Amino acid sequence: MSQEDTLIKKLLSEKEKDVAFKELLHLYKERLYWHIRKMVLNHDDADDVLQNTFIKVYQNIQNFKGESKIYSWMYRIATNEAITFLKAKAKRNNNSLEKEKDLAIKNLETDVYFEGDEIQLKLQKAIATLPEKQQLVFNMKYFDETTYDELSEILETSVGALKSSYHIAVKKITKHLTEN
Amino acid sequence: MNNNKLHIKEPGYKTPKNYFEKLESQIMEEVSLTSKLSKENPFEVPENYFDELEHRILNQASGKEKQSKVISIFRNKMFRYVAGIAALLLVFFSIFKLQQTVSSETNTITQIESYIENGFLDLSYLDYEALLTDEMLEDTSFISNLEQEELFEYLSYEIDEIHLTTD
Repeated sequence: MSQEDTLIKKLLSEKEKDVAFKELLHLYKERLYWHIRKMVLNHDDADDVLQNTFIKVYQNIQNFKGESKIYSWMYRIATNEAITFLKAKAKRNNNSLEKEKDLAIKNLETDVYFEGDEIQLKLQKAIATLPEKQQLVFNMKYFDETTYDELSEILETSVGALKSSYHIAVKKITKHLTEN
Repeated sequence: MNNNKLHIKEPGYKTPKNYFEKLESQIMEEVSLTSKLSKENPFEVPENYFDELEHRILNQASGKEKQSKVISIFRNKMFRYVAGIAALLLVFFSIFKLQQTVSSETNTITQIESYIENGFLDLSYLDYEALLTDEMLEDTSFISNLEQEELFEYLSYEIDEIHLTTD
């Protein structure tokens, strides 16, 4: 039995659930945080989404069928939570999703938890112009160096489609940076 | 052993159409992007964030789990009896309170009436005017219901009164 199988077995048992969850939290908190942060940009929002993600993982672990790796399942929950959060925030502020993203990018300029220089800010602006799926693929491939196989499992998309998404994203970003 | 098999130049692997042409441009694009930008993460987190995050999430998760495990009290037989008695008491006190409210309301109305009758309510014509809307002031339909004679009689009486008061 692999280490992951043992962890899942513990998570599903009444007795060992809390200990196993602590282990899961310890293993994946940072990876999931950075995945969410690149989507929502702001630290406080990322913190909210990350907490909701782990609470959902804890409450729905019995629904995990083991068809994919546990981190892929958690990444999917985190991605959905972040998208739902962004949509709800835009609705709350009476903005379109695009307008809300523009504002989030603008706020980076004064964000104490953003240490990027001008060119990094430009890169974030360029990423924000991409469609949602391309943004995800680009961030996970470019910054996190996730393999296409892992990406395929997380985003439930074929490797071929992901490769093409990534190259389109790189092309668009390069063009955006050259023009601006 | 067939020696020909040792000199296979095409081992049967294939690549997608135009793979190498596309690969070249894709690698060049990636290289040009990474030369302009570092892959360094520009985002930061507050100090000790990840340490205290674990405690927060663990507390929250176990708290929520306890909430969801609550067994319905309606299943308890004893609770049903207690709830029945409590409901009866609630109905009894509600009726009692309602009667009290009605009598206190009647008392309040009587008090207001005697207050006005005794002339304690000193309102100027401006106070009355403030209560009237433009629609109410423009409404003259009540005049058409009056007989002309009655109207003259009323006006002559009122004009005398006004003269008397202004004098």
